[in-house]
Amino acid sequence: MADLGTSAMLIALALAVYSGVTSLVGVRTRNSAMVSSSMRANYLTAFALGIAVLALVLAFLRNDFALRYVAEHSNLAMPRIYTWVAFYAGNEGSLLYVAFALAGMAALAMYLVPRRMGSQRPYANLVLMLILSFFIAVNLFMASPFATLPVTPIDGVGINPLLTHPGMFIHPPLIMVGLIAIAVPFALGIGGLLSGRIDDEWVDAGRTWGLVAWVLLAIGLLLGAWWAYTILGWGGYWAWDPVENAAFMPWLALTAFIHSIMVQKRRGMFRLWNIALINISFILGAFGIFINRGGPVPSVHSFGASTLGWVFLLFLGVVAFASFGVFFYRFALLRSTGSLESALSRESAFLVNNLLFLGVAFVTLWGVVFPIISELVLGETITVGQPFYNSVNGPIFLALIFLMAIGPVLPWRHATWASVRHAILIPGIITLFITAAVVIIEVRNVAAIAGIAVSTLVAVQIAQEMIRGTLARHRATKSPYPLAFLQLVGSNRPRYGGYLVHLAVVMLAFGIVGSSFYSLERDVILSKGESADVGAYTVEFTDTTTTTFTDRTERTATMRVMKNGSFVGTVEAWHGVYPSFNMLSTRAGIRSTPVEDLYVIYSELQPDGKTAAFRLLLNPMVWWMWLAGPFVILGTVVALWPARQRAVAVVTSPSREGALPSGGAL
Amino acid sequence: MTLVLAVTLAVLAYPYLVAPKRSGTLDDAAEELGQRLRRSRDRVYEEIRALQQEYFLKNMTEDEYRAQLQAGRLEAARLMQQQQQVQQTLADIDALVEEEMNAAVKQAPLDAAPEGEIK
Amino acid sequence: MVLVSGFLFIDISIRKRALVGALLVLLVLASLGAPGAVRAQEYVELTPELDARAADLYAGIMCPICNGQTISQSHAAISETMRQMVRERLVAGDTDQQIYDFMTEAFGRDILASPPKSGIGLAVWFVPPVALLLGAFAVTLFVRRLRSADGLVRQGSGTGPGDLADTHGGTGDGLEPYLQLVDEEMPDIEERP
Repeated sequence: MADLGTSAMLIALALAVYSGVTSLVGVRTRNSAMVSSSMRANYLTAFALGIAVLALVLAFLRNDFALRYVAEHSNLAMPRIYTWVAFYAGNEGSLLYVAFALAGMAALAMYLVPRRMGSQRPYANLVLMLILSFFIAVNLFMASPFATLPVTPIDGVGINPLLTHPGMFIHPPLIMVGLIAIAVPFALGIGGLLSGRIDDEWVDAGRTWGLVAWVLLAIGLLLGAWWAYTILGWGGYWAWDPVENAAFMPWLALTAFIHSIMVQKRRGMFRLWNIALINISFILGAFGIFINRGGPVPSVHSFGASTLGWVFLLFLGVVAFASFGVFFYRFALLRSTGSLESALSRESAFLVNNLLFLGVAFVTLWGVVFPIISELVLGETITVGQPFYNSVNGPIFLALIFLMAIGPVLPWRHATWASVRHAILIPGIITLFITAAVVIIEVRNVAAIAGIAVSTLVAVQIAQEMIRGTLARHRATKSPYPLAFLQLVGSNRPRYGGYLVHLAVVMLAFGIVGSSFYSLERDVILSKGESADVGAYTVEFTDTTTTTFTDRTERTATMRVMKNGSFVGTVEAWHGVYPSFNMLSTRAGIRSTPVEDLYVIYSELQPDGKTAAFRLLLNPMVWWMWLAGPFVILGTVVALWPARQRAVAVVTSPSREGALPSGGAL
Repeated sequence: MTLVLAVTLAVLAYPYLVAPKRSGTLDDAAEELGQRLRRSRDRVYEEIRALQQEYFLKNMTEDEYRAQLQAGRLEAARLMQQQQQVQQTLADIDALVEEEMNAAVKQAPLDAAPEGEIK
Repeated sequence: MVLVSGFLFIDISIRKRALVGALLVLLVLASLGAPGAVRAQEYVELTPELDARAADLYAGIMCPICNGQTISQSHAAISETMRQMVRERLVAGDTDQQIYDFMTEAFGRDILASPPKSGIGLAVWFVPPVALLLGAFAVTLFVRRLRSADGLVRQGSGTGPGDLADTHGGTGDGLEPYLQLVDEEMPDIEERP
């Protein structure tokens, strides 16, 4: 297995280098045969790496402990299904996974990108193959999953218990794929610059692949939050941990990108800026990969002690230098054709959008990097934790949500206050009423009220748009309302797909406001039969069962839940101790309703075996955050769905002196 | 292993060995340009459609709508004109070449066998 | 193992390390082994109001050896014990700031989750608003420059895709026949009342 895997990776590396070189030479010498061969080499790298992946999977399935990586991340007792997780649990395997994912996406991208994009295509391939070669080389020569041990152990160490949760089946691979997926729009952008053509074709391809990377990262981040919520047991879902931030920052830059690319599509503006943005996104992605594996800041996510940090720091440096080098080299190409006519317009709304998103990214970067700076400069590490991020990024997010309410309805070029009023008047009035009601019922917190207010404004505004649109369609085509609605969405997919995603953001906002400002928390010690109150709920500790396995001891506590005196159900809180990993893992017992989550963490069974420590939390509105996930996916799919090809009208040209051979449709 | 390498090399070498269909002529360039112009025009139509939709949802005033619609129409007309010009240029070149060839053929019996060919 | 070594807090100076080490030894001995061991009879329970304050305090204090987690998030024994310390001080009547000060004295300045608003910590809080203002300023300049430079182009140019649709002065020289064709080709509007 080791030999097969190593050979496959060597072949993949050779193919990637060949593909890059022939792309460059072929496009410079206008040798289309060479370019064609380079594309084939691109496709073959995906195959070769696929074989390497298969080799590693087989090694796991066969318990081939001669391979160090298999011995470190599995054991004889591990259920086969966890092979998937064990594959990317460590540095070596996850690098192979990333390389394979990149090869696959590069192949797909080059296959789908139309030939008519001309020389952009081979140049983009060059960039992709350079990045791929880097990853394969690092993987093969510095952190090979196929390295063997001098003596084959009888059994392996086993898999990190934290990874044996359904969330872990998807969250890390999605994040990794999302981060490397940014390479595709980046390569297309650089490819365009190198080829000297930045035009509409780049806009379409850049938008599509930008959205793909964006949605992968978005779902990956949401899944991570969901996993943290159910597993880590502190009732929260986002800790502004450096590794979380490392995946969050490129996502923010990508969000800015997918918005401002719309301005280039519609008005030919922001060309310079869009290239700069995609450069920034990829640089942040490379930074994310570095933080993930380099470990300059302590994090729960660290892939253990890694000596690869400097390699990825180098990669980051090269990417930053090269991308902006090409950018300035081709600066003259990037003049825009349109102009900004008014400070109040959709274009300027997008500018503000970009400013705010990059603002959050900067604040987050600052918070991640500052402890390193303070350590280097002062010898003292200042911790920058949640309170900082929440208090600084919070207001920016608030402004962004408000922007979501007015941005989409501002006309292009030049908006008048009349058009703004028309769009915002009714939602504004409704929001005022609701906010007043909130203030009367529960004046807790200005931030919370502001959050509720802007989120309501956006929600009502989107509802208004959809209702107005459906009504207009119904009046015109006489279709029944549901059909009219679907036709409406289909008639302008980017717009309505975008609205769906904005709705998801609103759901997230409500969930965050509810759980951040209105949650209740209690640490209690209960003996069997005893109960404790949290909010309107009463939780009674009824029973605990203990099961001992070879590698762990599990305890499950059963709790009876009553609300306002009447029984509503039971929850089970789970707790596991893994002596060989010196680790404690919990799963919260959660009773979730759209209004609030009752959340029970089983902290510890006391030595007397009769009393146990629990943490009880009441988290309002968290349910909505998880509902946001499907809406994000749905919205993105709608936005990306290609429009029906319009029938090409065969138009004969206006006659001039003499006959005109028109070779087909004009 | 040798089989795998052989197959890989075969796949990579194929484009060099199989004769390429065309070698970048003026026709191709013109056709490609024409298609790009056509697609640009289609995009303008898409924008116009979205514009009309927004107008009927009353997201903009009559004046703004008229102004942007006019801009779009002019844009589409310009693109159509350019596409037509490209085709016209190509046709003119074809006609010119045809003329030259006819002239050369007429001259041929009078001169000695011409060495070169006019392509 | 590799994972455990990864969990070690790596960035303390030697002096601090000695102090924290001594404290940790004491605490570990006091809590007598096994994850999470505050004895039932010692456990300090809180009233609901104190609970709310406790929750915020937990989120503001880091666990020194837990790889970037606050004592709110971490299950480690040391984290349990530190939470107990916070609870004891809450019951004793300390204010939030006094509790933070107590923890800072015991563990050092980096035990706080949020940088102090004094000294070097001030830089952390100061930079973001400044950066945002600079950004806003840059955007305003950019907007102004775009507006003034292209005043001429305002007469009906480009919903411009492509580098070809560039500089065209005037409207419709020789474009009339094309405009007619365009009107025929233009999409039908389904919502026209």
